[in-house]
Amino acid sequence: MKFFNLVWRNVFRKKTRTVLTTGSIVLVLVLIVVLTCLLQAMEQDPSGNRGSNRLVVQHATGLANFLPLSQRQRIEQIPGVVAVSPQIWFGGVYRDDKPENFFGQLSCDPEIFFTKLFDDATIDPAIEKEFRATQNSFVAGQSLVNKFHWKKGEHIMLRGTYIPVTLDLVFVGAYRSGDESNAFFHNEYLNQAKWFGANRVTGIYYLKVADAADLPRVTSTIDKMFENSDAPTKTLTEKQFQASFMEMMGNIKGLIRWISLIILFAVTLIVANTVAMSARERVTEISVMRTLGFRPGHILGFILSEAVLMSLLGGLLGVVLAKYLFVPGMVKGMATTPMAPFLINFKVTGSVLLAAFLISVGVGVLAGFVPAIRSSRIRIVDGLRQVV
Amino acid sequence: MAEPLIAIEHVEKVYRRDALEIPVLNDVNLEILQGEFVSLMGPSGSGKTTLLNLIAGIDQPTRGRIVIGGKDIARIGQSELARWRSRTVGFIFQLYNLLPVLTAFENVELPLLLTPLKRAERRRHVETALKIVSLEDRMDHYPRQLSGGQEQRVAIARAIVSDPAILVADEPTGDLDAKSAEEILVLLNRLNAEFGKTIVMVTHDPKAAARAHRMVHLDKGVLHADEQTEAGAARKA
Amino acid sequence: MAIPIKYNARNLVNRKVSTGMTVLVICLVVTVFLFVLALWQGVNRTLSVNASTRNVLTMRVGSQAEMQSVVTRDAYEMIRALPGIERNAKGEPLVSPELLTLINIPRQDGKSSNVQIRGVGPVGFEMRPGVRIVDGRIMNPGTNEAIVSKNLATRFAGMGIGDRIKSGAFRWIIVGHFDGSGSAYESEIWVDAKDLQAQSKRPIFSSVFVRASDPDAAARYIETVKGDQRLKLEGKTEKKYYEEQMVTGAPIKVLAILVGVFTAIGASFGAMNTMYAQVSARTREIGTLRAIGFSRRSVLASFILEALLLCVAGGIAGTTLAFILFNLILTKPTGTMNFRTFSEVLFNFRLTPPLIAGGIAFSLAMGVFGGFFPAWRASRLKITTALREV
Repeated sequence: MKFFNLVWRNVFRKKTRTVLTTGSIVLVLVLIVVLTCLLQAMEQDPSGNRGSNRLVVQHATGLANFLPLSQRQRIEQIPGVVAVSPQIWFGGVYRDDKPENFFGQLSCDPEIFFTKLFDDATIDPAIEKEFRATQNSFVAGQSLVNKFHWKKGEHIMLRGTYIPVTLDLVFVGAYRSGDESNAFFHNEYLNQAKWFGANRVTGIYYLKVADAADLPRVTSTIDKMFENSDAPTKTLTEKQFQASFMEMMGNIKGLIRWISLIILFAVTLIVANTVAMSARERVTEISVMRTLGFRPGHILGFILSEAVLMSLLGGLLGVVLAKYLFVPGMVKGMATTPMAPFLINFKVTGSVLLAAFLISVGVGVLAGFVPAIRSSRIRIVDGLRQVV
Repeated sequence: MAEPLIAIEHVEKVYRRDALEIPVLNDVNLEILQGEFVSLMGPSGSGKTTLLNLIAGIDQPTRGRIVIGGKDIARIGQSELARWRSRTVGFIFQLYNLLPVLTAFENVELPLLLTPLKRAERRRHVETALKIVSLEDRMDHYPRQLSGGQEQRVAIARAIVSDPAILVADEPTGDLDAKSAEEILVLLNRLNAEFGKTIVMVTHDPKAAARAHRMVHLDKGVLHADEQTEAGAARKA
Repeated sequence: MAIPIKYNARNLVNRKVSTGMTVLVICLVVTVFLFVLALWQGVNRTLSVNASTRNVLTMRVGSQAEMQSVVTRDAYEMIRALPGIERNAKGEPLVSPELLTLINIPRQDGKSSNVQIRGVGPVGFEMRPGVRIVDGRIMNPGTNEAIVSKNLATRFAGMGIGDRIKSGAFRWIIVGHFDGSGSAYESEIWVDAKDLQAQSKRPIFSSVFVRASDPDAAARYIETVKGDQRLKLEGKTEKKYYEEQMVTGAPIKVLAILVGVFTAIGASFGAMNTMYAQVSARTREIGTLRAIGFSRRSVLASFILEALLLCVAGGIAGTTLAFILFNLILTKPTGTMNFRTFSEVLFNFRLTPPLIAGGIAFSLAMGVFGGFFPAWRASRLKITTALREV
């Protein structure tokens, strides 16, 4: 620690240079944090990564096809199944056609939905009770409520797209969970609207199994049961179901990974160049220190510490700026794109920040390594004569 | 006669540049006693700085022995040599070579960071050293805020702060005006007389050389003359 | 009097490591930037190319995509009788009732995606001259035959001629590959409309395509449909319909801007550092140049020029790298989700000449930004102090 002062002073030897280098680290880290959060938001797991023992049954051909409601009872009878709720993705238009006003609207069976099925969500029992009792009510994720500022008792209109009816729903309260981007309303209310599939079909079945060990068995039982019917099914775990949307995003995930890696490499080069320039200008000084009795290991440590310290400063600043300035800005920037529904789950988690911080340390070590070794190997007499 | 503090025996130094071998020192023998003040003289390229570097242990000879305080420093490893330097030798450069990012105090403190001394002890040592060079009032100045003579005095304080037995100086007055140069030479004489430091100084200035007890002349890597100065004669007497 | 450019070039070559690293940084940044832009361009081109202003989609009011729409047989018959519709050689009106649905099929990479399957009739082909069979033959009605785009065949598994598509209750046999001239149809599987109605048990259509005799007639047709209370349908030109789907590319555009701006500033900081180091290392040289008689302006220009050389070298390298990447490695079409249809839209990375120019301009901008401040410092040096510098 007694050497810290020396390292610190050397980091700020040329202020412009340090500010510029730190600046480039800040920019890159902000970018990485934003991109990582974007990936995380798209991959949001409703159970908050705890695993949920939940399955989604969809039509084997894909989501665009309906399943007959008659399947519900047969699924419920499979041993190990705790609760089944038919659900319909309404996909209605709220306010106007703009993508930023789009959000997940799902019908459900309110009797069991929060109590037996989506039971890792947190909801006030009074709200849950009111939701059950009021047929035209809806509940929504807290983040979604924050976005639209819904008040209790407020009515919203959802104009159907592929289901040609308009719903008039009244807001009763919010729930909290890993995925707070959806609104839920009664299956029965949708049926009352007398659309072409009312009381006949559903989009998916959302179900819960008592024991995680039963998931594979239940999955194959369901799919076998309907294999040769008019509506064959494809049963997925909740996580797989979410992932299937991500897969649809194509290679965006891989793309973001590659971009992150390449720009990290680029910033490592920038830092390495800075450290190398700084070390080259100090050849004489380094030799003087060696003359005073500092060993090659000391010099190595000093140069490496300078690189790491500089990266760390950049990392710290980058993480703070990302969290308080750029991520909120990013959410705004994407608000008018179809990414908006995903961004409801956009949060800067501690683990992302920690990872970004560690990455900055890694950049410092990688960047400082070569110049540090070169500096430590300078022959004192050459350095004093400045021939290096 | 007393055992010499520094004994240089049949030392040769050859530099290699690509395939070319350039002999710099050729069979040099020299003994320096404890408490002596020796100046090394010679034209440029004579090998005087190389000899000084060998004595200071920042370079090692191609052949021969350099025994200092009973230890042959031509044969020891780099890490041990570094430790040995920090305890035994203080180096004074022509261009002072202070670290611009550190204050006078911090520059002098630098060698002490290699010792297990506590912060308070280090402070005491640094203050003592700066007092000896009469710069105790400039402790918090940065090198660029000091004159050349002052910078060289800080450099001397840095050289003596860990109380080494030997001081080596490479043209310590070469970049200074006459008045500052005189101050430095007086200081070196004082360190020699009062604190018993053995001093080896490279210079091409005969007036500066005359301040030493002995003048050793080198030419083309060979030791030419080794004469006692008036100061040396006076000391003996 | 200008300082010869040779002087800058030699200086850059002299410090190989530092120059090399800076050039590499700029190169990477330009490549990444072009990559994201090419992606965005690819999506947009797919959704805009060959989209006609004379082909009008007729869908249920409020539908955002064909798939969400329902048009009955009766409505189709009524549309056939509307004025302003072009007729073919046989005198039939160019009206194509089509049915769309999604199927989830495996990709070659082992994952799976939703793909639109379109039921069309012979008139549908007549209306879209951009769609041509390149391999095999056209499907015959009543045989459950399908044709797939050649792009789709490279991205999805089991899409060769003679292969069978099996998904849920759907069973199709592939008899041909078609080329859609880069349009959105290249993301689709085409089958006979009646076959699709039978297999999906839906005796309806999703949309009705109408070819108007000219753009004005198209506008009039749209008005007529809007005014007809019996139909409850609305018309949209193909061009407008796909323009609305371009929101799909919007997140990529935001991504491109974000990545572009951040990395560009970061990289020019790196270039600036290199140039500042040069100015301080060459202080004496600058003093000498000034003493010889070069003006402040010449010094300023010379250092900016050097930064530009540095960055353009990186820009050219980056563009070349992107070119190699797109033409040798990323030749297969890639896909992303079309947010309107929830199906995959296929596209190719496109490195268009404007994009290449953009990449070079991007590196020039970094050069100007990164070079100006160091050059300014160099031009402001006092000759006397500069010459005294060691």
